[in-house]
Amino acid sequence: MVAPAEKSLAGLKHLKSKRYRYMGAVFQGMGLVLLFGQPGWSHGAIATVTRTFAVEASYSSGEPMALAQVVVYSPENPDQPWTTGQTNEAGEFEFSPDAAGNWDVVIRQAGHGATVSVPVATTAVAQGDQQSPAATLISSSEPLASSPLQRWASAGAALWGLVGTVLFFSRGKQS
Amino acid sequence: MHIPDGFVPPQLCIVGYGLSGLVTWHCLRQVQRHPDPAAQMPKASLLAAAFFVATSIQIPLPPMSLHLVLSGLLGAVLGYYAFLSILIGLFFQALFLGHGGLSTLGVNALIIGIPALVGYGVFNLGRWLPRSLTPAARCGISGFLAGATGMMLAVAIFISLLVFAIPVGFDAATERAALLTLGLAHGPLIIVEGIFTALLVTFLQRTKPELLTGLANEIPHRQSQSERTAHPSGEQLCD
Repeated sequence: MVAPAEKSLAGLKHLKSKRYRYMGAVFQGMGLVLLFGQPGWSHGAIATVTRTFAVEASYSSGEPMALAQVVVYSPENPDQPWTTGQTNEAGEFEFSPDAAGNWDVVIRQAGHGATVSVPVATTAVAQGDQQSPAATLISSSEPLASSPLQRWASAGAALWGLVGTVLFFSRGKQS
Repeated sequence: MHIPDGFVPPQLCIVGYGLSGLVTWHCLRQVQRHPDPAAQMPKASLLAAAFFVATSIQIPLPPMSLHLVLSGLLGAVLGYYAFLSILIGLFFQALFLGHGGLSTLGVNALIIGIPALVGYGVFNLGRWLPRSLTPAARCGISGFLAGATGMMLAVAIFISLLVFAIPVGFDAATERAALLTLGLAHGPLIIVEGIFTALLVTFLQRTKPELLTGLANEIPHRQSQSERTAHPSGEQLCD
């Protein structure tokens, strides 16, 4: 890897010192790894670029779901857990899928939690594609209404319906 | 106290719907036996609104958040109407606030509704309290017992349902420990709910006793129409 790198590194040709040449090649090698995200080998250590998916869980109050149990189901075998684990103190959990498809992540703590479906594209697994996929929330403690305004408006409507019932029946009783 | 969608097996959801359907049918029958079923509607609807709001307010207690259930309170004040009010309140919560879920509506109705009916029974036991106590004290004691029993039973049903429905892949011991912690965390809330119920029931007994007496009129046999119309406002429940 060092020899072709030296040839292509035109800007460093004027450097006389072998030491500088060596360092330049190392920098270039690192640059190549960083640019293309390909595996790099050095002194027997293996660094493989993987696509890691992070899932963050929190209660509806905003409190992170710390140390909650997580079970990941692969698309090939949705019945058997692919991996299990725990969220960290910040309610985060990371996993590296090895196949394309919809991965189901179930987070649970004392009967509370959510199920998230993470669609993984083939390119994301093979090339470490940085395009972030849109995860679909299957079920959670989150309401159907997406924005807080929608939520409060619908809750207000439900409350008004109940208060209206009170008024309706009270009126009928008086008349 | 609200089980979200996907947390219990589908079979349990179906059983939950079946059982809560049966309980609803029984409650509607009991309500129909009341001299004037519509007379209790404003109270039932108002308490359904109170239930909707109170059980949506989360009390943060890291690592989890708790909320009141008001089972005993609704049972003590509403009687058989309590289950119906809870069912409506839970439906709105599942639909608008994401509390619980539509598939688990039946299970959740049982978790909160059955303790309400038990709370009603416990509140009625107040008539066996010694006569030497003042009506307010008897009301307060039976109200406290109803509120505390309701909350305790709701927590017990919730936890036992989830303990037996831990899915494959989850560490049962960890989840059991988490559920136990959740149950213990509800300990102070049981007392709070008991006191809250006692205060409200005592207040009603002092200011508007007829709100409580409406339930005392529940007669074990069907009345004739003339009896229904001529029914007096009733004696005080706690006297």
